[in-house]
Amino acid sequence: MAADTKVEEVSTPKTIPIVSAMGRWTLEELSALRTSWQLWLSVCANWRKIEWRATIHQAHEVTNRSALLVAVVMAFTGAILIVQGGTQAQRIVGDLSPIGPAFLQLLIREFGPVITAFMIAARYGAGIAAEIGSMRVTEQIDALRLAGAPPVQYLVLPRIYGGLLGMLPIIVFGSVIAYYTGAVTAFYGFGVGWDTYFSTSFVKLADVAVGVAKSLTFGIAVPLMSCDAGLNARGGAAGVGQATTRAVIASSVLVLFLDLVVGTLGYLLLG
Amino acid sequence: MLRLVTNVGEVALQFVHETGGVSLVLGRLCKRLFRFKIDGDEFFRSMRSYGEQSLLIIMLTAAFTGVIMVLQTAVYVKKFGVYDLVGWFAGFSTFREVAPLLIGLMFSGRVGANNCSELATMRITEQLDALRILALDVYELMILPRTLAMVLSMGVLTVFGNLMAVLSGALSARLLFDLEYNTFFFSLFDRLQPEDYLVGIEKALVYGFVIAIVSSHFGLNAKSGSRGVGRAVNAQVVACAVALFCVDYVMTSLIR
Repeated sequence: MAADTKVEEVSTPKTIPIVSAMGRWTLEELSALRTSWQLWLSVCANWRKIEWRATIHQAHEVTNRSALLVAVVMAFTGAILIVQGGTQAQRIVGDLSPIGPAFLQLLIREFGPVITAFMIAARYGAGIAAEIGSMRVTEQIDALRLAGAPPVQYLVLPRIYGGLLGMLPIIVFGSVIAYYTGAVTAFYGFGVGWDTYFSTSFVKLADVAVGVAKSLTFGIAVPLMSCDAGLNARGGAAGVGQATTRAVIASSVLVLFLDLVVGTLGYLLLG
Repeated sequence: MLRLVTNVGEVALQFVHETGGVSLVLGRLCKRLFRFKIDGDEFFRSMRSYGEQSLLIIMLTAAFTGVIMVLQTAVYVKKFGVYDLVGWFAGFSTFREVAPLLIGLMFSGRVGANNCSELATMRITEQLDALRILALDVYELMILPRTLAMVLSMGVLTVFGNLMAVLSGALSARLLFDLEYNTFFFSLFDRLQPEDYLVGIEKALVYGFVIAIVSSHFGLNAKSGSRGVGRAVNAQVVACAVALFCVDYVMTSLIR
């Protein structure tokens, strides 16, 4: 009998590396989503505890520190979209006169908020994550907690309110720059006159409402994801680096997702 | 006022400095390209790890993009009733412009940042100097294979992303405007030329190259100290974004 019983071989299942890596990534992301959700809940629970000075300081950081980056990127965006839209319009409609108003509508509703929010995520979000992340790995967050200063109230809330205050102005600023570089491109590239370009005939109140709603949501989303990445940083300087890249990617994906959600809601509710 | 002038000057100097650094990396890379001795193992390893790192995030991004582009057509659909243009509009802007750009931004945030932090860590722990002492060339060993891997992965990822965007676009058009799948795909295939698709892929390949040299430059020139790596990675993400938009503008106006 004893001879028959073999030691049962523990066979590790063969895995396709890329699939298992993707599965692992999904699981990690889901658990990370849970921590961001918890952070969001505690932010909601403490929403009254505004620190005005810190909030104003953060709003200043959002707008001022990223202004140049946003200006450069949005200037290119305006030119690119006009060239692209002009090509599109020439091929299908053969009439370039609606290019200005159509571009303004697209800018207000879609590209102004999204591209600017991406840039804010790359600069402000990464900055927050690095700051809070290095506080976390040097145990300053624990020190704050010990001193009776909850990090959500002193670190996270001012950044979220700062984002909420600062995002709309910087998006308007970026969109204005894109609109004017678009005008220059349309004039010199396609010969569209200033009068035809600067017309608001395509823009309705619904577009402005959707644009503002998007700006405000992104203003909350970017600091939230970045604070979460920073608060969950682990293990020394390398951990802080990882937290920064996490913050950029997570904020960007959430921005796109919220863009989709708010855009769909706007279409269904406002048209 | 003086502070403003100082700031602008500093930014301009920094811009010139980084541009010069990136072109140095580009020049050295080109020199190695002629000899073309490439480390095959590193190439395949990088290809695989780039795919693992970014495939899911890029598919997600592309899926969102498809829906957003279809939503944007809603205005025209309502105004002019052009249901047969939805597929074309969504496809045209996604393939030519939005998909490569967004995929490039995500790729730079994930793969570029990883490459940069790895090189920066090697730099501040003096491993790069050790390589030089062993008469090993870091460009041949790491940067050339990685650059090729990034260029190729961007191409492949954009093909995947485009597919994802079209599928999610068709689905959302169906749900939002009750547009038949047939109408969507017919207007996509009928009005779109193969060039429109290929322009996007070309752009993606160039973006891959840009991300590779920019991230390598910031990694190779990281300042020492534990904060150096973090700073390098942050600067890399911002610089990549600016470089991508700049290259995008040049390519868009060259290829009409």
